[in-house]
Amino acid sequence: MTNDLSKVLSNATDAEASALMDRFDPEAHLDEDTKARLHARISQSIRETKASAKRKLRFPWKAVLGIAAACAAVYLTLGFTVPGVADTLYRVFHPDYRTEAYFSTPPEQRQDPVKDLEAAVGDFHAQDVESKVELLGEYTMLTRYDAEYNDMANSTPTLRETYGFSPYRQADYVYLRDMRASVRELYYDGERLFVTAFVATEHPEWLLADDEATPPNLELAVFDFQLTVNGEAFPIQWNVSSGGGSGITVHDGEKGLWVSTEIDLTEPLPDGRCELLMLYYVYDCDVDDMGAIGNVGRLIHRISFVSDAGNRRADACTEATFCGSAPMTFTFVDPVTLEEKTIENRTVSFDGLKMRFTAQYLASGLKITAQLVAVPQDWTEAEKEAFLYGFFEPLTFEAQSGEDRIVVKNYEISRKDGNWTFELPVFPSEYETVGAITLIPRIRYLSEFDVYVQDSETEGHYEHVVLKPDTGAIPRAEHFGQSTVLETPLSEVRIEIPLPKGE
Amino acid sequence: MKHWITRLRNDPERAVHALMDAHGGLVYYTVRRVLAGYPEDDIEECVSDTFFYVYRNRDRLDLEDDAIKAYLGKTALHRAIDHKRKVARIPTPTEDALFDADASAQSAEELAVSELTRGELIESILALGDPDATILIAKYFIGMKGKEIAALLHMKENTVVSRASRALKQLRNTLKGAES
Repeated sequence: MTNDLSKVLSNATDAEASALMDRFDPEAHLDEDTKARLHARISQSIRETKASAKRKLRFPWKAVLGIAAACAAVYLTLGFTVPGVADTLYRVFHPDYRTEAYFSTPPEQRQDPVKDLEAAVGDFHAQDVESKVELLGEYTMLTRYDAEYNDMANSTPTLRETYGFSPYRQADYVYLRDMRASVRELYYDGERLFVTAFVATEHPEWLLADDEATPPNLELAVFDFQLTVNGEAFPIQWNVSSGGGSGITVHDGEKGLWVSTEIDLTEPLPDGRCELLMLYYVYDCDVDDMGAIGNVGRLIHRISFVSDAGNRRADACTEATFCGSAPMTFTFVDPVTLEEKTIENRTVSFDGLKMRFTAQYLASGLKITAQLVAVPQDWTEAEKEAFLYGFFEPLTFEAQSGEDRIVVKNYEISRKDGNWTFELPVFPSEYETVGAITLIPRIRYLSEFDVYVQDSETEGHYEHVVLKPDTGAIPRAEHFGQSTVLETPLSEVRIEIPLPKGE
Repeated sequence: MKHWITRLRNDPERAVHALMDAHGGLVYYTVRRVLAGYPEDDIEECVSDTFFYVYRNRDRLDLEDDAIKAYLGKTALHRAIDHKRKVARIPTPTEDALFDADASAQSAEELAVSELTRGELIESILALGDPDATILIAKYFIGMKGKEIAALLHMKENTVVSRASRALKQLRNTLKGAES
């Protein structure tokens, strides 16, 4: 009966499974070590996704730089000598500027170093405290994961054999002991911490996870952190991303590579002396480039800095009432099965929508936070839901300064609790020249897309769909292919962002 | 209430870790049930894949809070089945010895469960009440071992086994009664 019981229960419907699960609550039993390993794996997946997204961003950025250079050449050839042209070119042709993209680009590859930012980095007085290599099997107890790592170290030889790889031998990786980390840049903007470190080693090319390269084929990734402020532990939870090792270079006469790390803080750091412990893990990609069994050693990097400068920043606030209409995309999904339901574009009136805008004047650019204050009275939950959490994230902005304009890209906006935050590449030394910034809201909607149609006889195919506004709902497919998103500016709405004078 | 979805959209990284804290056990044991006999590393990879899947697809999800548990369970099940197909390794069954002994003792009296509706069977299990219903669900639906169930319910392992044995007997009697 027991076998039958398992078999029958394994075929339970969603509702039946839900009824069984309601009775059973296994959460309490998942032990802390397992939980810690699972959290670490999830963090690693997210980190890899972010790193991959950053790598993807670099290509168009370079292409845009090429165009910028060509246009600059045209300006020079035609003999334009209008004051501020260089600043104008910078803003117009660097639409992808974001602080994280800036710091994740190796310093010598930055085509246009931002002098305000380069100067601000010095305000934090970052210094190296310790750099030390440990090979798997000799990890000291440093962080909350240490017990787990030591377990991994002990079980790694067995695990490697289980997967058909050669057993781990510390002697095979002794060449890692020449790694030495030093901090090159540290910047704290009140919410995020950026660290650029240089890892000196005789063979940096071995650490770049290049499958085409001659072994050893390793990867270096910052994977764990600990932060203290004035000697007290300061929590860092999960919001960490690292681009891993990149850009082999010679720095101060030493060969090595750059490692950039961003830590999103859950709350601002108190003023004072901080110590950041970063653990750079090394994975042998020929064993396993994803799982724990590939781990062969780690570089311990401890740095100190003073947080005060990041907490001193000026800001300004203004409020705006929207007007005008624009199409917006609405999707409706079955809450349990997630099976396709409907998608449609409706023209929506934004009359009466109120937002508060806060500008922070930072060395890393103008940080704008738009906060929803009130929605139009005639909006239902559907409009509010589509506006706040819509599938194609409808709200974006255009920033104007004289003839210059930048449309803030969707991925450049961070959305949180009815707040939209984005950066504009306007720096304190440019405030006098730029004068003022005007923001114009834009509403995005899904106009055309390809839908994957499953076919029982073939592998399926894509069909092109044009979704005109106010033509009703159509069934929504789960798999979208190419899509076209259109934007409608609410041109009557102009939000003036003042820039401080005398900077 | 769509508290989870709001959190996933507003602060996805922290939300997905909070989801893991809240429902990690459910996902873990659901995956382990499918991947019984596979290395622990495979199981944990599949569990983390499940939460990463939620992270990546957060913009497409539209779930009420009370639906998130079922959604995670279903996603975990599908990830585990996919993983099994992908890895295509032959698992070595590691059935708990105590339950194995119990199962073989009962095999002569096996019921034709398939002749009954699944709904009746589930109703009968739930009607057993706690802790017996929980013990059977943990063992036969989730795939937990005797030791784990004992730790979960703060019982001795022997108590779990004997209660499971009695619960199975009671279930058989109930189902026989329903059949006749």
